[in-house]
Amino acid sequence: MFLVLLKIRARKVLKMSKLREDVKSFAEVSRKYPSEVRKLKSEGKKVVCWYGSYVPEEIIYASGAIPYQLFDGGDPEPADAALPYLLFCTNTQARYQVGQHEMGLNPITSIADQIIIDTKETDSVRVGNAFEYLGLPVTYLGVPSDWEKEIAFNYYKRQLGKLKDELEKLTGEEITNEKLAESIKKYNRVRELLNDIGSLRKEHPPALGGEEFIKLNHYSLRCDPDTAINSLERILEGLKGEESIFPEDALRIMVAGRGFAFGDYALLRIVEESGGVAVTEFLDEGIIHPEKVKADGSPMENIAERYYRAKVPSCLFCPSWSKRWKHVSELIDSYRVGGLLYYLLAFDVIYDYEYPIFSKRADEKEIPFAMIESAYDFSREATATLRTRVESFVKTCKR
Amino acid sequence: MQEKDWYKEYLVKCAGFGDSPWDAELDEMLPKWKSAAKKLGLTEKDHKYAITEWIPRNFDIELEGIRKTIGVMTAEVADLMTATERKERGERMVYGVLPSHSPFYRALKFTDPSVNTYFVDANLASFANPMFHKIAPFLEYAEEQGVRYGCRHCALNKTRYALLKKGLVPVPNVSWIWGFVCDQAPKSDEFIQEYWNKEYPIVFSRIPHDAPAHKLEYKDDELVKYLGSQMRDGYEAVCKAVGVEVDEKAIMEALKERMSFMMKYGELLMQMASDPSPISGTAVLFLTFPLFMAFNTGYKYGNDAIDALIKDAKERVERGEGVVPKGSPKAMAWFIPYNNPFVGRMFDESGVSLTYCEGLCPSKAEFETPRFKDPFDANAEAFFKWSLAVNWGTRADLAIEKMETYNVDCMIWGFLDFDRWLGSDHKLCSRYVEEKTGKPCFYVEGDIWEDRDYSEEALRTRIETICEVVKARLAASA
Repeated sequence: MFLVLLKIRARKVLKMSKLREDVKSFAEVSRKYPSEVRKLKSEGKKVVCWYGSYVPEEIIYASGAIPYQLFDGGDPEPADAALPYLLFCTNTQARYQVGQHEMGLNPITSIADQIIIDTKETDSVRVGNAFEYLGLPVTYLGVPSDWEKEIAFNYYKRQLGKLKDELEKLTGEEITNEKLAESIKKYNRVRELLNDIGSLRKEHPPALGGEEFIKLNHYSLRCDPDTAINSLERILEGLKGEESIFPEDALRIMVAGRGFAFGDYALLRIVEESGGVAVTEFLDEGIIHPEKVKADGSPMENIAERYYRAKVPSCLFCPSWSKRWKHVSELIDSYRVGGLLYYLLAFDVIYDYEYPIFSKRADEKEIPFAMIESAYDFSREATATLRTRVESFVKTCKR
Repeated sequence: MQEKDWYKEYLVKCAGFGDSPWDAELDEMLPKWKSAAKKLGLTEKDHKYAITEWIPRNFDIELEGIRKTIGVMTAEVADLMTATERKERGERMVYGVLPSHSPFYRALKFTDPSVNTYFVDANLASFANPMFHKIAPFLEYAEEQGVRYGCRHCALNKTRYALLKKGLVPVPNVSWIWGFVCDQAPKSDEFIQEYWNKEYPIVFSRIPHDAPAHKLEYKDDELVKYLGSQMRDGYEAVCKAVGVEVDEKAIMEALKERMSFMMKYGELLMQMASDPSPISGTAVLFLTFPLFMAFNTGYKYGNDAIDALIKDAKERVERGEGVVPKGSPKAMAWFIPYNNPFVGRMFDESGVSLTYCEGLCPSKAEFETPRFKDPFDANAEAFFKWSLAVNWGTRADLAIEKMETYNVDCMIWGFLDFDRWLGSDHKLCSRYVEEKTGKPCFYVEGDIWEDRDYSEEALRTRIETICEVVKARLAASA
């Protein structure tokens, strides 16, 4: 195992190709995004934070405001800092948002002109409630969970209309259909590029792994779409014909769950240091889903359709698990997955129901399955246990 | 010497079936109860413990009203335990979950009395622990069957799953899941369907929680009508599943019946406002259940029990008797953990009467005439007046209103540490209400449904400290 690790690291160092330079420079742009947002704010731009994957970034961008997604994580301390306001059994991710603000670690929430909260689940609503209590400007976006009903879809559409009105009021700019169309075009291009990049992992061994792919998603979520397009186009080009850094016998792993937060890369790294490679993922948050917004017709209608009904339903939606597993099963087949890892955040109660269902279905499909639970504790002791578990899983699957 | 029949002893001494007019039903109830108890694993030993220790320690069973209150729960559970046989005979079953209002379930029965309506989890959990201290086996069973202990899933969802998987209740014709408040209940039903039985039939009814703090949702026509349309959709789907017509008159009749019972409950609360409180707040809470749960036995036993309890309370008030010494402070809990009746008792014993349950005390708005005439919209409007269904700011505002109305000295939040919806804003509410009223508010980690993690001894120090603080604050301000 140690040799595998050395080999991957050595290849990473030796192969600082143009591709890796492009990835590095994209990472750098994204890292500086919060400073850029603060600068734009000082120049009079409005800053709009959003939390939850049912908030259409296209509308915020079209309003002229600067979008900033809240989805940091990977450290237990901020999650604990939320305990004066939230229950201990609120999921770690949600608690992190409140604690991060409370500890003064989020550079943007305190200067935000608006924080849009997607209300598809209790825990995200409670993040909004705590922000409200702390005096932050919160707007709730109504997202009914019974997504198959027409009345629920219509409700979501109406809420998007209200959100558009609020953003126009905030920025003083009319969100015309032309602006929306332009915004949709850019975000669709980002989706397309990420999908193309991710699909390259159908090859074996893949040219890039899950950690890098998730990071590309995160960089794209934390920069303006034009920069994301330029960077992703260069990276996609560079990836074609790129030699893999993974060994031939790397186990092809799929990761599923709520999502990996910005800063939460330990599991993916350990997987890839343990003889595996994450070749596909099934995540609800912190990732750019590939479905595009249709270009023809009413932009608002199309945005609503894409976010509410075209995507695979969120774990929080009712019903969702049957459709979700069908999608997972298709990914397993098309990416020739050899093992399924479910990444569960501590106290994430609905995902805690999903993993036994997936475990059962994986057994039926004869795909090895393991659940990894995280409270964002990646101390040396916790990581050692995690590494042992992942290494055992990979070894077992390879047998 | 003939051995004591502990089942009969329980029905007579603790459950009101030795009192008029229920004594006439004793012979019919006894075999039914024995059969139910056997199914639930409530042994003779459990009955002996309940009769000689647990119930008398936590409830004033010398009062007829209290005995009948226990009887209301007993009769419902006895009825529930016959559901499997009745389903096999062709009767139809509709299940629901808390938090909810009961009129739609009552309306189904008004429309067709052979339709049975239960909240199987709440019916059982609200009985097995408070009366027998024995809900844990059901929870442990659910935990062995895929619902992990460590994630703090709601005990009600675990109980529902355990009852179904053990075959103690039948798969219903339809489970109408109100996700108007929480995510967990509807997703628990979907879990049951996906993980255990694909044939488990569900109708989901849900709304998003997108109101800003302090907004009065019941005054927002769009929200009320959206909830009304969800209720209509759900009710129509349920009626279709059990083959009955949607009868709007039946819904209005059920609403009227609910209001009439609520007025009686209001009369009981007026007695509770006396100094000292005549009856423990925990015991009084049980009689609100037919307002919020589908009781297949309806108000048949509830009306007798509430009349008896009002009479008991009046007599105690006349005699100046109560559960605490005269002049003791009064506390309101957002939700009195009635499943762990020792909590209320420990407050009373420590000289602070835990008199009121904010979540189930009607607010002023609940007595206002509805603005909407359509039965679904009227139900939706009523639902949005309820503390359990509103945004965190309004919940805090309602607590402030009720603290003033009932003149209480402190507010207790918590005992819902597993509850991602109902309990998850309590820390915010507690801070806010204390800031606004200047009265002490306390957040207590605990679990309303079970006591495996929060036993009597584990909570004692916290409760005694709270009571000392309240008494000291009151003495200082006198």
